[in-house]
Amino acid sequence: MNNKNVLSNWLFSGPDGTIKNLQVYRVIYVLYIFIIMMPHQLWIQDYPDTFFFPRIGITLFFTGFPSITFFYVLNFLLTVALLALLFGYKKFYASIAVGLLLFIGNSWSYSFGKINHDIFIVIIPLIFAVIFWKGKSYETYQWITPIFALLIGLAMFTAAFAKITTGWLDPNVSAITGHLLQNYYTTGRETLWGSMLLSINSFHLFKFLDYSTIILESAFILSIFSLKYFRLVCAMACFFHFGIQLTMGISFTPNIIAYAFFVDWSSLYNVEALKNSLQKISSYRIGLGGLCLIALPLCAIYILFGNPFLINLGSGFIKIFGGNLAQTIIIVIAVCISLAYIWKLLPWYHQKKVTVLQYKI
Amino acid sequence: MQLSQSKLILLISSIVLLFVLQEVITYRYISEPYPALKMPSFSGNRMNDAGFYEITNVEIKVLFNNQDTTLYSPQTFFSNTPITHHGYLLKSFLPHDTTTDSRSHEQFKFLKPIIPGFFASRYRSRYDIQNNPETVQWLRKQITDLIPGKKPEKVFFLWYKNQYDPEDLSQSKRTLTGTTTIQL
Repeated sequence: MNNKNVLSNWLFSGPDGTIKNLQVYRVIYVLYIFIIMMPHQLWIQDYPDTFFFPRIGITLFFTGFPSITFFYVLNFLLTVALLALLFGYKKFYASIAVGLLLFIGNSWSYSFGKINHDIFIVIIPLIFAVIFWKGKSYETYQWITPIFALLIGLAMFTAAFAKITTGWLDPNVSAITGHLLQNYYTTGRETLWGSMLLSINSFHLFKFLDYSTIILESAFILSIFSLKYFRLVCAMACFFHFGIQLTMGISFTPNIIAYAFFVDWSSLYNVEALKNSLQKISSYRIGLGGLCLIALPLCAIYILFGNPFLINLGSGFIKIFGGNLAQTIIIVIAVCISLAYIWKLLPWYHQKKVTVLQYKI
Repeated sequence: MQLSQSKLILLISSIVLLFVLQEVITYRYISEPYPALKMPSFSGNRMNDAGFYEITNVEIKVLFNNQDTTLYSPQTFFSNTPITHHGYLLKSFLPHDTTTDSRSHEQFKFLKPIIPGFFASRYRSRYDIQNNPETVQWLRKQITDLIPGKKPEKVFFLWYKNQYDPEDLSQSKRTLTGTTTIQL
């Protein structure tokens, strides 16, 4: 096979399933933002400009944080854009608006100097925009999928590289132990599983976790040429993120939603009730005025009462699961899907399937 | 949207090239920008030269006008802020010298009208931040939100270095490395 064919094979063999994947995934993404990320960055209003320490980015053009009105408007526009994306109203523009508004909100949040690495949340709607440009096309969906895999692979590699160059490979020191101690005693993420891991204090186990973290983070970039193996790495990463949440209390659901892009959701689309509701959502002919009318009370609820999905179930829940209820449900679903995928990859699964088929015949 | 193979090669090359550029620039010249294609590094292993795990810990002590004191963890004190930002907020309350910052950004001063945010934040020392009336007012509000009805007089940020023995992960040493006192 010549180089051209290799590239062509990679870019155009594309994901299995059809564009229906995207119908389901779009809804999942929008629901995720409503469940986890709304209201968007309203907490900034409490802070004076003395804490303003912008990184290189758009907030460098300003001298301090914007007023509360700015964040109210941002949240309202974001709600409208998300609803437009959900109902399929001018999807191209809605996707760009969602990406842009999340980026603007995040930029202000990170102008305290701290960057949370949830860039995929901004990239995903921009990928939607590319797919929806001039009407949705399966061809675009096919080539944009490996491009998104490349972006994830590169981003994950930065994490692996930083670890490789700062002592994680030292056979005499466990880096994870240091970070676990830091999280447990300084950051206040005193989880039950973290406490257990610290009490076990097995150097070999910690060192195994050090090495496997680096292998997993590097595996993304190495597997981008095969959708099957990339999915496998994403599935393994879901277990990794679940482990991190349980032991260190760090929930990293933005990555879970990015991995979900590679799941074959078309089988879910075949569930009649779900298919009907998705088609119903898309069939509503709601104009901009209608979207604004729905967005207004929705946004008001978020602003006045906070996010109902992020309800605090007490420190006991956080201690056991390392995150809030919504984060825990998302990661548990991701782990279940990952298990199902890995199960399907096992050779005896196929043998069993063949046997069942033979029996039926 | 359909792209020809040559355009796709150009797109992929651009992504890889920009990524390499990002890594070189952030490694050598500037701290991480936003946006950037990066994931959390969790770099380093927290081991000090003596072979112990060493982590920094902060306690926040508030002295009220009736001479009562209350000790807060950063998680309680900054409870209205995402936990991810607590460490960076605390950096503003590191012990300081009493001088105003004089970093060498002079050669870029001509950019001040374009990127005022860079100069507003970089030409400010921790002394400036901690003694700014806005910071003091904000601290007062944080405390009165936590304990309404009591008048805070001073707040102390106590910085500790905790050392843990790798053998049994027990705390082997705790040293107070500095205190920041702010009159409210």
